[in-house]
Formats: sequence, C-alpha cells, structure tokens
Amino acid sequence: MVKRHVVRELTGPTCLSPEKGQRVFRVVEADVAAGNVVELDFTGVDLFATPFFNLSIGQLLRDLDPAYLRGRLRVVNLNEVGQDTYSRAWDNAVHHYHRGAPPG
Amino acid sequence: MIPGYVVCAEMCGQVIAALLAQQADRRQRTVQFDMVRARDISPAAIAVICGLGRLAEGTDARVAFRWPQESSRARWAVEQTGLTARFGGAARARSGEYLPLREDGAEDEDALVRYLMEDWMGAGWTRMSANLKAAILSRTYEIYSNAFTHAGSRIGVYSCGRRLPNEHRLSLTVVDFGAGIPFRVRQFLRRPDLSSMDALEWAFAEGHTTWPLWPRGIGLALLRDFVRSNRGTAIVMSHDGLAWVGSVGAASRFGSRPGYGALPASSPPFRGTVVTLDFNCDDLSPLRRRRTQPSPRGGGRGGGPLGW
Repeated sequence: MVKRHVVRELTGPTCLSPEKGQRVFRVVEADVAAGNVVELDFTGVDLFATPFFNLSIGQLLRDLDPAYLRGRLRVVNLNEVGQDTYSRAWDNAVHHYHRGAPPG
Repeated sequence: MIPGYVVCAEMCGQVIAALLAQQADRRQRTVQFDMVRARDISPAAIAVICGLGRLAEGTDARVAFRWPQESSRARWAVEQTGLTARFGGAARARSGEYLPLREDGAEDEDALVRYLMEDWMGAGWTRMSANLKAAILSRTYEIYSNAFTHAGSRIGVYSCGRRLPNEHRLSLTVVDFGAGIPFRVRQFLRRPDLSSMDALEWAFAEGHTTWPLWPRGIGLALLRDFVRSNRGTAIVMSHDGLAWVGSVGAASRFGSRPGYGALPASSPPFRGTVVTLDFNCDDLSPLRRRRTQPSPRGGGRGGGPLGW
C-alpha cells in the first residue's frame, strides 16, 4: 500500500530545522514499519537544509538497509535546492550508518 | 574583514576580563562600549557588541555606551540596526542598508525565515531568481542550525547584516558565544594538541561532525560549494581559528579553495564563533548575466545548478 504525505501540510513551506525533520520522521517511520511504501510530496516547499533531512530521512537508515529504504520511500517534487540537499544528506547518512555500502 | 575580526576578539577579551575582575572582588563594574571615535561599524561588530552587552548584563555589571558621532556612518549603523534602541539610546531608524539586529535564545525556524526573507532580502531592490533566493536562504540556515545545535551559547545567537544594492550583494553575520569549533573538534577527536586551524579544516570536510546522535556534517560543505558557485564569500572565526572561502577581500587570496589561518598571536581568542556570509544576489540582470555566465559549451564550475 502506498501512503502519500503532502509535506507542506506537516511543516509549512520550509523544511530546515531538526524539529520539523523529527515531525516528518515520526510519520514516515510508522508507515515504513507497517510495511507501506511512503511517498513524500514536497510540492509547495521552497527552502531546505540538511538538519531537516538528517532527521526526517537520514535517521531511518540507522535500522534500515539503504536499498530496502529506497524501495519503500518515494521523494517527489523537490525543487533544485531541495534535490541537492536531499542527495547530499542521503549519501552522508548512508556513509554514517553503513560505511562502505553503496548509496542504495 | 580579518582586521575587523581581530578588533572583535580584542573587545571580547577586554569585556570578559572586566567581568572576571568583578567576580573576583565582588564590586559592580561598568562595562562601557566607547564608539565615539568610530567612523564605521560593521554588522559583525554590532552583533558582537550586542552579545557582549547582554553577557555583561547577565553578570549584574552596568552596561554603558558612548555612541558614535551624529552623521557618521557608524552612527547610522548603530541606529539602523537598533543597537541604540536596545541599550537605552535612540529609537531604531527604519530605513537604510542595515538590517535590524536579531537576538535568538532558541532555534525558531519560522521566525528566522521571516527575518531572512523580509528584513534581509526584502523585495524589489534586486533581480533574483526564485532558485537563487531559495539557495541563499537554505544555505544560510545551515549556519543558524550549527550555532543552535553545536555552540551551546548561554546568551544566545546574534545576527546582523546589510544590503548593498549598488553591488547587488547581501551580507549577514551570525555570532554565538559558545564553546567554539576548535574546542568541540579537539574534544571529539581526543586531540587536545590540534591547532585551531587544523580543527577548522577538519570541520569543513564533508561528513565530519562532532555530533554523536544522528548523521550531520554536510552543512558547511554545502555552504562552501554554494559560496563558490555564487562567487560569494564566507568567513568564519572560531576561538583563534579562521576559515574563509570566496572571492572578496582577504578570502580572495585563496580563490575557490577554502583557506585556514589563525588570529595574530598578539590577539586574544574570540570566545565563540562569528560567521560572515556575503552573497551575490542578482542573477537576472542581463548585463551581469552576460558577464558571469559560462559559455554554453564551457560548463565551467561557476555555472553550477545553484549559482549564476
């Protein structure tokens, strides 16, 4: 089952702080644990910083294999800044929790 | 910029020495900031003075100011930023190139974004794409996040800046009075002998973090990359270490590679961290675009996705 979340409804138009990252993490973690595929739709979000992604998604990699999580998580409609920030945060989290593993 | 940082470090050393003396002999001290002879004062110095004023107030010292002379640039700066208004002087003058001074005790994302969007960037004075605007705001927030998460500044985080419309530039300084990057790195690596310069170089490397709880350590690297592509400047002073990247002033000596150094041996260390960012903020003006865009076949590094 695919669970779709409009991130703006959880965070407002900016995704910068660890606090907002934690808010999204709670939602995603529960859905992934229930065996769902999660789609995070970032339509309407303009600003992105790494603390947000470190908490919302990076943290998930503590217990999950990067390839498994890639199959369970769809991140859509990021703007250019968001895509760049997300990619770097993802690679960093993979390196942090799974040193030597491919980025997934 | 670097000489200005030395002055900030010296001022910080003098105020802390006075407060320690007060603690030792238990007599109330007056800490006076004498700016009468100042001709110009940078936003960085204003943020530092405000923080030191609050630090002194927190120890029951009396804080006094001798403001710069009327009609000097320094006077405009202290009035437009609201430094005077915060310490019993003239009300804030609302127009001008300086931003209102900001004091934060805790991270409040929405309030900081409002400040950066409305007071710093404003509207109508530059031709900036939505993409550049998002990149500047997003990368600047990394500095705030580092200050709130890592510094442990008991008196908060201070920021101040200015718009330079004729040069199409924005600058912002963020100051904390916490442990400083070199201290955190030495503690984390268990290398008390590590120089501040080496500690800053370590901190700028992608993926390096002293934070134990979750992955961090790419904020400074992202900022560094953006500053390069934007042809801006970032200068960091933390304790006695300095780091800079960019194309303006002292930073230009190092081109696109970050440079690392130390305050002069005669200068006391700064008890905290000062980060000054300077960005180009006009990527839509045809004249400027012609001058700065890489050729269609060139694919030069200056034309990165978040840059010009």
